[in-house]
Amino acid sequence: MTGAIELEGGKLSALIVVHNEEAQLADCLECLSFADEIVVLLDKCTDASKAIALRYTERLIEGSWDRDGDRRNAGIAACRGDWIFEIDADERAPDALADEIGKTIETAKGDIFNIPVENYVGGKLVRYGWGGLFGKNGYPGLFRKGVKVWGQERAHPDLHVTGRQGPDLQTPISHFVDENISDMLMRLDRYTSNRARDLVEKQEIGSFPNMVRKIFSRFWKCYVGRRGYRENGYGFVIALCAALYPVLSHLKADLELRKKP
Amino acid sequence: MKDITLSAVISVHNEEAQLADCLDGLSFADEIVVLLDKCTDASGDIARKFTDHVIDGAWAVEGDRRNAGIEACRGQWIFEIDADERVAEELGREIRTLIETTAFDWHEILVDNYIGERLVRWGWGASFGKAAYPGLFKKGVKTWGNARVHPPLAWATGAKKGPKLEHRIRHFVDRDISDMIRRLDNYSTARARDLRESGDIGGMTNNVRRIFSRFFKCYVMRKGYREGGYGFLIALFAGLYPVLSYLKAKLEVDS
Repeated sequence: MTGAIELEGGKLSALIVVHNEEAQLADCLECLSFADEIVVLLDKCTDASKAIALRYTERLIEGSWDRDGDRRNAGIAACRGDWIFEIDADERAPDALADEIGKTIETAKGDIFNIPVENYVGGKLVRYGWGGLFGKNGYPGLFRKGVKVWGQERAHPDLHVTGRQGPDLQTPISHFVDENISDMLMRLDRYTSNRARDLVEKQEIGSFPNMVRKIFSRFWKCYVGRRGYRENGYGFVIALCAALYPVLSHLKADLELRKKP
Repeated sequence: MKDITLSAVISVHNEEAQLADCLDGLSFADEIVVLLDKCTDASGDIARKFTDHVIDGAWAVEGDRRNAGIEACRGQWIFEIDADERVAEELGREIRTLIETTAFDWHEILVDNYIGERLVRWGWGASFGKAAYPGLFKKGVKTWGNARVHPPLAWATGAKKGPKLEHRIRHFVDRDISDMIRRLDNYSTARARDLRESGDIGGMTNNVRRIFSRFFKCYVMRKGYREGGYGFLIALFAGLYPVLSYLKAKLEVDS
């Protein structure tokens, strides 16, 4: 097919925002053929992501974004469908979810819908204990164009949603969070570096004793409150990462960023 | 050819960023021995600017490669150093003077540990940073064990330990907190491999208890609290090292 796809009312865009995801991208795009168009936003990609994306769609946006919220908003703006399905490269949409999304759009009992998530570490499904930004139980991934805007924070931007919240979808998306514990620690490192920059920008890095207290409250919330203990060891590591996120962010901001002119 | 009384030995794995600065401080030795372990960067080229005595190879276990480096030394005395350490002139002079006069077989060298530019004196321990190490010894008295992480040392029977040197070596442990996290990850991965090999990986309860006992040891007993945030992080990572090693050994197969 050449030229632009003419989309009519009710059509669906699938949107994916990637930064060097050559290992994951093909498998993710493979399951998006149910959408009327696929939009891939390539942020500073230096690997084969672009070549892979071109096998599935002509709708590519290339560029460089400093903030996750900005690049996601740019992706949303580029979608031409009335409905948008947002997915990440480390997620997979099963056929049953595709069917459910089609039906949801037809009946349209809302403007934005939550999609449940099943999180995997390595090959193992980990159901319990997620939270504190590591893994998610659901996300507002299906929405009418214009109702969802991402905020400016570097680490896990806030969402600004207008429009009616519809009933949650039933079929979960599969989210392959990390390969192993090393990946989890590297993610903790990345998230806390981003968070430290946000804290310094807002000039609210918080107090050290407060962040130490949060180690225990957040660990408790994930491991006990959200029953991470059921997941054997991975629940412990998830709770640990969630627990250390505030104090590591605070110390990176305090010791490494504030001192610099 | 001049007599070789003192050899300086260094084992490196891809240390092109650090190596020149380290070797630059070793001219007080009669020979420099550089052991290159699976180096794929410019370490070899850098080493050959300072010495002809370069050994190339691949070692799976740290103790083995350190023993191979010691074996290659021709001096009667050996000074062992890592690429992230620096010797000031005064320490070099002190070493030369000491080996002329000492009645002992090995001596410890005190270490000043740095994170980034910051000298961190208190709270070290449990494999991250070290207060002192037995870096000056007569050939034949010191043998490394064959663990992957922090192999134990064996001393020849009758070998006499002398007083510590007065001047300190500078040890640039990590550049920043991200480096500290990466080190915790690398050490616990290697330790997990040792645990699996040993056949006894231990249990969860005991390793959780060790989070607190090791944290307390570094932060309180070794006075890490004096160092503020860095002392907290050193103690935290020392505390987490056993439980992360255990969980990696238990949940993950070796790749």
